[in-house]
Amino acid sequence: MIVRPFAFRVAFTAAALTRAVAADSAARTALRPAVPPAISLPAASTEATPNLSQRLRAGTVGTPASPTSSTQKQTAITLPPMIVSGGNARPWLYVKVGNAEYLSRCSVATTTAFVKAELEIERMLHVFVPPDMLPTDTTPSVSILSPLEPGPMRDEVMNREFQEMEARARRAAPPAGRRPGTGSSAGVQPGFLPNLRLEDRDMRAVFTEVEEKDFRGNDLLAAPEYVDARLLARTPTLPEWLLFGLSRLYRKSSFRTNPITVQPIPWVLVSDTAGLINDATSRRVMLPVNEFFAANALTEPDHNHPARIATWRVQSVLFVRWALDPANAPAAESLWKLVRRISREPITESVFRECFGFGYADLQGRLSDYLPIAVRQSMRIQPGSLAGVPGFEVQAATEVQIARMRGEWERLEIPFVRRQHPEFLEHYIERAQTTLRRAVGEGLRSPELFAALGLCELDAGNPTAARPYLEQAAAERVVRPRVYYELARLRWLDLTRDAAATEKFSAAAIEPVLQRLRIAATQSPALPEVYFLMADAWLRCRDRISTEDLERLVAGTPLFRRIPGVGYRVALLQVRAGRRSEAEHLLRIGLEFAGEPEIRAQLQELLSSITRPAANE
Amino acid sequence: MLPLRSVAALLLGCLLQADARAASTFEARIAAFFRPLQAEQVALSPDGEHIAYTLNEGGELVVYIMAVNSTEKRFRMVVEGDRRVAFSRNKAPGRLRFLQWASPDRLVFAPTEYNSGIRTIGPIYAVNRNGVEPLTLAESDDFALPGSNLAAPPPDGLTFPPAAKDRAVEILGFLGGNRRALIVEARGRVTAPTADPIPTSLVSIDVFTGKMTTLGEDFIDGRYIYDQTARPRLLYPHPRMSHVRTFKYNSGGTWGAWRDVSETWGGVIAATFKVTVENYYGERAFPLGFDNDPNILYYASNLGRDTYGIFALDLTTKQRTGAGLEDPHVDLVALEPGEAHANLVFDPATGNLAGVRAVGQTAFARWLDPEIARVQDSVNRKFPGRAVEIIQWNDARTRFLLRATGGLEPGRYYAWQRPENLIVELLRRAPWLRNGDLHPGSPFSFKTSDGANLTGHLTFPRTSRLNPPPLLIDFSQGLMGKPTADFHPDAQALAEMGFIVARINHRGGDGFGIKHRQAIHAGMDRVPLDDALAAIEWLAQNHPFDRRRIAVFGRGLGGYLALRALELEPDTFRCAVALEAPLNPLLWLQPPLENIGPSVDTSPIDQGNRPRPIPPPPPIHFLNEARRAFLARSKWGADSSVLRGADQITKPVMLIVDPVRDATLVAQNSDLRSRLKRRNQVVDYVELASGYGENVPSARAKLFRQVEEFFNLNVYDYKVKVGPTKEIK
Repeated sequence: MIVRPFAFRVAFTAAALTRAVAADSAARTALRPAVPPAISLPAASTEATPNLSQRLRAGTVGTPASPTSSTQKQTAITLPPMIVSGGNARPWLYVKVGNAEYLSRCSVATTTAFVKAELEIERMLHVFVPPDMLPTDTTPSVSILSPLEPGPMRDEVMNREFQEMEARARRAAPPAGRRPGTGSSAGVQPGFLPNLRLEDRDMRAVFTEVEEKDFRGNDLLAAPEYVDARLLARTPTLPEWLLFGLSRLYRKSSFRTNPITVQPIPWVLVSDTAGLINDATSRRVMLPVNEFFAANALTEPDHNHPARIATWRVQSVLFVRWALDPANAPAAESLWKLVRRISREPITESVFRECFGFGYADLQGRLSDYLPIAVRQSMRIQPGSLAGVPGFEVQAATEVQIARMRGEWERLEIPFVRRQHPEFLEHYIERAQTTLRRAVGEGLRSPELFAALGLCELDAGNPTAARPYLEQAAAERVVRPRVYYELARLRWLDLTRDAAATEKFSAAAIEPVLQRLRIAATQSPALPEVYFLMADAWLRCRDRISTEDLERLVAGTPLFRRIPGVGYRVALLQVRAGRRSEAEHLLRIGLEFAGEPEIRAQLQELLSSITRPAANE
Repeated sequence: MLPLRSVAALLLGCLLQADARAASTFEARIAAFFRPLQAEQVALSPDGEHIAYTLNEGGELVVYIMAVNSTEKRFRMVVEGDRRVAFSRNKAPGRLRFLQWASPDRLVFAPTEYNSGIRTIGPIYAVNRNGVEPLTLAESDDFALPGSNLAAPPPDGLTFPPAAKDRAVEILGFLGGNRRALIVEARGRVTAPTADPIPTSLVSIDVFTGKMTTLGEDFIDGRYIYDQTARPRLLYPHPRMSHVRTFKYNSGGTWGAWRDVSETWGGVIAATFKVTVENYYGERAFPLGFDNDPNILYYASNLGRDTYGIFALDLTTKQRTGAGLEDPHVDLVALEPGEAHANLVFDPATGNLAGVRAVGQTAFARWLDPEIARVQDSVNRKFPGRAVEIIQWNDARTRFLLRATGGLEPGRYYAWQRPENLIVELLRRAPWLRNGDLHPGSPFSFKTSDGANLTGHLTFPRTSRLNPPPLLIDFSQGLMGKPTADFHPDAQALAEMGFIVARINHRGGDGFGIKHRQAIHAGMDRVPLDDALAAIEWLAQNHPFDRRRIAVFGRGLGGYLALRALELEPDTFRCAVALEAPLNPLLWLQPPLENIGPSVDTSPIDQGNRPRPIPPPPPIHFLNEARRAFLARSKWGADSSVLRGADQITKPVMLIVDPVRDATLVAQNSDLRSRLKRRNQVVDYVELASGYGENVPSARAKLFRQVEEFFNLNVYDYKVKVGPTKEIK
């Protein structure tokens, strides 16, 4: 779980983002998609660089632990989370639209405006990024709205943090009177909307405080970090250059205007940008396109010079902007076609050519030709005729809804407080447990409520208490892949706790673990840890893997091409099942996706061990 | 209400205006392909911090200096204005013959020589990169010899100042290991027996002070080969009357006696250094130049092999030494011994031979220097689908100047910064042509049914009026042409008309070895045509095109082949465009006319009423004789003249001639037009306007517009009868 300080921002003018926002975001956004650990990573080490070699050592690994967020490698401004007060204020309202649930204590009008604004933002976002590039979770997201109370806030620490956050936002805003579009700064002055985003492996929640008298839905913007998180959460994982390019372009764009306007982009150095603005034939640093697309673009020993990394970043933005520019149509369709393919298969020039109709060398030329335009001119995207936002109804929230959604929020707070403000941990655990236990104690029943309570107990460090609730949620067929994974993990822990590291189990012994994992594998979002554990269980099994499970694992591998541990384990299982050629194929694909030299070495080592006997034959 | 006639006139006017606009747009697009490319010459400074490059802009030849690693403002130096062209309003853009850095700050450059009508102009300049300390290192006059060229003394009472004897000047480069000394050769020439001989001199010029030092001179006509200390070591003589040219070596001293190279001097290999008109296009070996070690002589040889490779001869052991540079399909050097050394690349810092450049299917290099070879591999991987040439590198070998061409790309210059592993795009050769607006292309190669390895280039139209598009076979390189270039303005212009353009390195051409060249002896017209047919079959399997719409185009001898294609394969080709095509190549086999002295138009009074001197016999034109000998070995059918087979031409023809260039050629084409017209055949006859020969873009565009109109009528017109579809087996 992780906290993001902003999910939304308020724009005072509907133009574009500010340099301040970009600078602020730049500090917090490191868009290398984090590879979820295949093995146990203690919560305290989630910010550290994972031990890559460990990730690959299937069969020698320890017990998988509670999964951590796919965005955990991002650094974040850390704040103590808000406490959702029960109080005696206005009644809670509930809205369910699409895949989002809202619990609001604002007025009906404010709630309606907020929900509508979010839907409009989503709609405009889809003009920029096709819906299938964003995660399609079956688990609803939770959004809690609360009116900003006048006077001192209830929580002194939170009050101090918010004041600091607001001051930072004001400092980062451009000076008043600055003309929009001058320099690299656009004409937007972001407002301050206190809100927090917390994420779990299979859901996200946002808490927002709204000043109702000044609130206008049109002023609401999706924070870049929120868009980043959405893109990062997509399965299969998007290529890094796309994540970075979209992320930076979003920061340069105004999405609440029609047409969407993307401001000029900077090149590597300020002097480079100025040179290109003054002279379109000025020199330009670029990466060869094949190296730019390569998985090891920045990881090989001779690929990690700071100037090269800086060039890769700006070239990511340039390529995405070039593709999205309507002047280069139909490059946008080609781009998404390419991304869909290379999410599952390695990018090669022939794949690129099939999508775009020309090769890398021509792309190199086209990007170079486009660069002077990109640094000098804004790009406009006409959304065309947009579908209307879906209708929704604001209702009074039921007791179960209030308890579950508040409980989910409070549950999500626990890991964060544990890391950042451990002095408050007991208090937060107690509050979350109280909210959820009281609801269950009062006879409220829903599988989602049981799931929330089970996960709450788990996050509170109480697996014994968690298990019955998780079992109950699973029995009632809750759609929460993490629930099934956690149950499987607990069973796996039971099985292996007293066993020697080399001990092998029978298929019957691991079957209870696999049962839960099979269900988790059918739900969305797809969690790599599900496949890790399934593979690890079979790797410690003395019996032959069942064909169904092997097929299930093989089918899941393309979802996690950029998480090499999955393919590695599946290849090991294929070797054990006598499918050497398939394992070889899988490893070769894995090599195309693997960037880190250590991981490549391990994949290569396994590949060599597979092909060596074949060569002798 | 307007009268009907007025409305019709208005509509017609609108249509004509729209047509004129379309024509003008088409011509503007075509003209852009023919604009002179930028940065014809580029040089990287020894420290890799700057490049100097040429540009023709605003009617001037300009040298720019730009930083590689920063965006500092470029320094601009105007070299000279465009040059006048005789009898034409058009001007020819100036060019440089030399551009090199003598130090990180000192640039040396020289425009090509030209004759002003009074004297030869050919300065050599040096200047610091910030424009200070400019110096004219030398003028052509500095290399001229005093004396009179007048055949007769001036009339009594008149005195003329003695006219200078100009000498052609070749800048050989910097002295090995000393970039301060620029070595220049002033070439002598053969004179009539009564005139004073004009020697060849070797001069060293200090690029910082301009001080000139004569290193020596000699009177033998030919090309001298120097070692890296500027000592003349070998001579390729050009005897006036011999069909054999034997290399000579310097037997001692700075300018000692020249003796024929022999087995005694250089071993068995040296004994093969003999060039004759008979072996010129066959098997032979010849020296190229010396290594930093003066005892290592590099030579080219195709003896016992198909293509020219480059090898080293140790003159102390008289044995071949080290590994050779070779390619199984491509000659690594040109055939002419006096020019072949230009392909060798020496390391500017050490003077060692680094490799050799060559052109096959694309431009490429073979590197002897293992480090440069690794760099080549590395940069090749960075530009898939492009030919990447390492043009230069700095002394520390941390920056490499690259040129990437190929596909549809006219060429871009890059610097590869090795420590950062970054590519910096420095220049585009045609920045007015956007990659996305050009027609894509790719090289191709395949084996014919009889085992010949054929290569060429395809250019695909971005858009075509037909699907599949028509095909055009371009014979522009003629019978003995050079390998085709990747980017070609003609191919772009023809693709603009909607054609897939196929340019084939058909057999008989240079650069692909002896077998490829000599294969044409089986039939001078038949062999290239068979290659074109084989290419059509190969293309049909790989790129869909309209088999009923195949046109053929050619310039010069390529035009001859285009017309022969219509005569010999009327079912395959739908029409032909022949540009300045000689229609009876048998005339080439005739020996040159003897010089019979002044014509009857020359009055004895003009000769000063003095006895006419007996003219010396004309010198042998060695290259023409070699070509004649080569072509004479080919099969020439009695009907190989297009005019003889004119009755077989049943498809539309466009004949394009330059009315002022070659009267024979004009007469032949005019004759063919008359014959075809008499038979009511479709024939367009176009005379080139001025400017085409000078490569003026608008003149080229105008011609291609006429060609497009011809194709519109004869390829795209659906009313034209299309021949029966042939089943291809």
